[in-house]
Amino acid sequence: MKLLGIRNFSIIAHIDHGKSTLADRFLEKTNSMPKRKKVEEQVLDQMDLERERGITIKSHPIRMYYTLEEKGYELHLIDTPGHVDFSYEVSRSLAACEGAILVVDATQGIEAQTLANYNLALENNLTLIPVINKIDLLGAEIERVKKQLMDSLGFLENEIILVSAKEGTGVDELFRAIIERIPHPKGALDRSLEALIFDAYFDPFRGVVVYTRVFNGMVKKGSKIMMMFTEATYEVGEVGYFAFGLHPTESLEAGEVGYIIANIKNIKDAQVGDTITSSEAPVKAPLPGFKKIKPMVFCGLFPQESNRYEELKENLGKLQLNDPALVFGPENSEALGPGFRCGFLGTLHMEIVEERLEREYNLTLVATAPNVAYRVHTKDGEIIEITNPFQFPHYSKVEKVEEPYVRASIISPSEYIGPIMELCRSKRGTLLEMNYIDPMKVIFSYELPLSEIIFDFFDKLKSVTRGYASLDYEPIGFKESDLVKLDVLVKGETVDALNIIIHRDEAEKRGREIVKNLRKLIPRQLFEIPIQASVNGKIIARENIPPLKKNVLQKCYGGDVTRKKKLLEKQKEGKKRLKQIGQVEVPQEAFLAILKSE
Amino acid sequence: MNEIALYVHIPFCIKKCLYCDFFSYRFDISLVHRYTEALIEEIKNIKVRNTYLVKTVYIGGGTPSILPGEDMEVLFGAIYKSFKIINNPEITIEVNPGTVNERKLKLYRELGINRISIGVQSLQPEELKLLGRIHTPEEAIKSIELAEKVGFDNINIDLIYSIPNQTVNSWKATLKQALNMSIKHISIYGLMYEPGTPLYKALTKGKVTPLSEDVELEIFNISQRILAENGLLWYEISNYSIEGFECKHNLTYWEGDDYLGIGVSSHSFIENERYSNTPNIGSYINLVKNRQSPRVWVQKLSLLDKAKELVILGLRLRKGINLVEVYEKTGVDIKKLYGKSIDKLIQEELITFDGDTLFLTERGRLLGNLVFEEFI
Repeated sequence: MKLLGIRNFSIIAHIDHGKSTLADRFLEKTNSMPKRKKVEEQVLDQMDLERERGITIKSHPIRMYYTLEEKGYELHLIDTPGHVDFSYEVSRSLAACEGAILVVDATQGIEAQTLANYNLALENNLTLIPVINKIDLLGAEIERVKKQLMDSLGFLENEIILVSAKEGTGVDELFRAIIERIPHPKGALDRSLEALIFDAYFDPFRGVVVYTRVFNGMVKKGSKIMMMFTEATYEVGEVGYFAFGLHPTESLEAGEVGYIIANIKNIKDAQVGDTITSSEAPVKAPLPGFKKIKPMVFCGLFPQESNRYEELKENLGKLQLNDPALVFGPENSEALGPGFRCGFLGTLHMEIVEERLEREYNLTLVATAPNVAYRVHTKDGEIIEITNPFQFPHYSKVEKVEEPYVRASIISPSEYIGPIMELCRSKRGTLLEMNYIDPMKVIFSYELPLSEIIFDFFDKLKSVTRGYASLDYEPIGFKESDLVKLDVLVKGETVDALNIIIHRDEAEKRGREIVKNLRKLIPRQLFEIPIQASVNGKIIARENIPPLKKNVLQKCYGGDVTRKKKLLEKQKEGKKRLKQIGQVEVPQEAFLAILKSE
Repeated sequence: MNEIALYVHIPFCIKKCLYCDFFSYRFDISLVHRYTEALIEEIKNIKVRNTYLVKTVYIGGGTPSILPGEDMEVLFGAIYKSFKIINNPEITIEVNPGTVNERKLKLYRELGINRISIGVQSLQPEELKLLGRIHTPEEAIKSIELAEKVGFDNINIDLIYSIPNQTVNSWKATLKQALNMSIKHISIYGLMYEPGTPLYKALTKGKVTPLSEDVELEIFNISQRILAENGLLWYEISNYSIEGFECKHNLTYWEGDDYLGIGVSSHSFIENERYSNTPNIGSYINLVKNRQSPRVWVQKLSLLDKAKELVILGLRLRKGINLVEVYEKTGVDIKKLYGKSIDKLIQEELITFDGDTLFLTERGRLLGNLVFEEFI
């Protein structure tokens, strides 16, 4: 039976522990590399951005063939995103597998995402193969990492495979373990179609290409299918598998990983985690684990030149075709003009979208500081969810406010316990647990407001631990907080793009930091510019930008004219990048000033 | 016959001043001789020299006064031989205190030089030291007195304000001492920290503190008053003179008229074309010796560019820029084209407009760049 020869698995790891290099080695060993393509490092990370940042954003499934003891196997490797912003996508990719390889760097040991991914894999009942990678490196501490894997994650010593993905050491042994330890998929061909969507992308010529794992039944050209969440129905145009591109096949059967093309126009109709079934004989219940994607982080994106609004809209739409997690709606800022309020999975997702808009579509953007969603309970009993601090009701109407919290795991060398606890306290964290992974390494579990995480928590954590701590987190819902809206006034006018929502105890300190930052960033103009921060109508901080009194080319003679004209041109060019707010010209960086702290 | 201003560049200095970002070569006598020969060669090769009437000559630098007397003599010999010159031309030389003596100044007179511009900069010893000048206040005063003695009655001095640690009083002292002598013209520049200069480095390292803007402005305002009391009125952003002693040569630049530059890295502006000579002294000498043009860059100005430039340069002058004249010269109606900017600048009290002529206000003189950039 075909199922016996199939293995579906993922590689999971903390960032930089060598996941993609190991995937490359698999491709090489199974001759799955496209013939004419030169072996670039980390072949599976296709997008330029992924390559530059050394991270995986989209899932990249690939089919490989491997022979062990004269028996042929069909291995489906699903390379998953490697960042906390995309943990739902990871969990769905894992749900498509029976097993996973858990890669740990021999020089680093267990880190926060090792643990987060380990937990995701356990939730999906996967068989795990622990791998210690980078054993060729001088700083490799194999015994120590082995002990961590045994003590903290409960692996047995003889389960652990030692690998150098770079040099290829241990890779054959790993293939054997994949085949011998990971169970073959189970499923019945004669039952109704039941397939999981674990990713999708939009192809402008063929519509949405759905990445799927078939659990029961089969799908082929002409099958009538239905997406169980959206209830949209389609007739399948093509099915196939992935191996650097799409390879059409007759059918996709229970146990297999592949793609479906069915003239799906909108990627929102193929939501990650949804179940595909037969529209003629649908299964009763969808596969477990589906969640509607919800943006966690929001910011305003405005075109530098307001006449490029339509262009921005069009290009956001284009990105959305391939990125259903991106949401956006029109926003009109008094300060920045027409633009969009956008929602993202996290700050990395936000940065990627901004960077792609600027790079691929050549737009210059003004982005406001990111914020989370808040739930405001008003005195007349209403509950408003706001994604823009500007929408915060007048303080006289606010009963209480809730904000999203996360459970954060922090793993760090034990010498930094003090600074980490101090940092978490200053970020309104509640310690849930602290455990030793080994005598040198400790894991904290904290409850923290998400807003603190997206503000500067990670940078601060890195700095108090000299880069040694790692962080992972998962949302745990809304909690009440004593939050207020902090307004920034430039020359007496509230600037809507400079509002933030902040804990009352922090307001004064941050208010002072913000006006100080703005004082440095806003160039002097012909008049004095007071910069003020206010909370609940009360001014809590103020700085003055003195008027510009002297700015003139003093020497301008024959030989200088060209040079002096260039200077003036440069000065004028610089001014073009300023946004006019009332009478005041404000540079773009100012809108991010509220993000910076001392 | 069209009139032209003639500029000759002498790129040598004994020592570079700490604030100076102009390119100059260290004094080397054999290089200087070869350079003088090259200047004469370039003059001989100039094609337009018969179609223009030279109205002013300006020997600038660098430090022109370190040129040996005999070199200066042959240079002027070539100028007089090669160019048609108006009667009573203004002929200026820049000199640095410490590089001239009575004999040299007398020679300048004999060569027909009738205006002298002395790089005094300050009359306070510690300020001169900070600027990296090679001379003392006494030497500066001496050179002014000598110039007077040998018969120069059109003397300019350059002064620098905004020197670190300068006070209103030290500035007043410098001004008063200078005004005690018979000076007809003063150029005053605020000290600039130009990237690449030792002074700039000292600034970034925190070794010098720039003068506060308030003191700077006070010095500027006091200067207006003191100079006016002594009959020296501003006629250009940085220039003051007794009436009738405005520098005719420099007015050429600000009025957008033609000028011809001779020498390494010199610029010319002739019939709306701008040229510049190579900035490299070696290639300059070689090119000229081989009878090739040392010009390495040409830019033709469109009439619109020309009009904008006339405005930017003309605004520097107290007499302002007459837009009717700009229209007559270029066919460009600045009033129509830049009506919005003009209104805004009037609103901001940076300029005034009498219907024909734009003027900088007193505030505009300090904030000129905000005005100029509107017309870039």
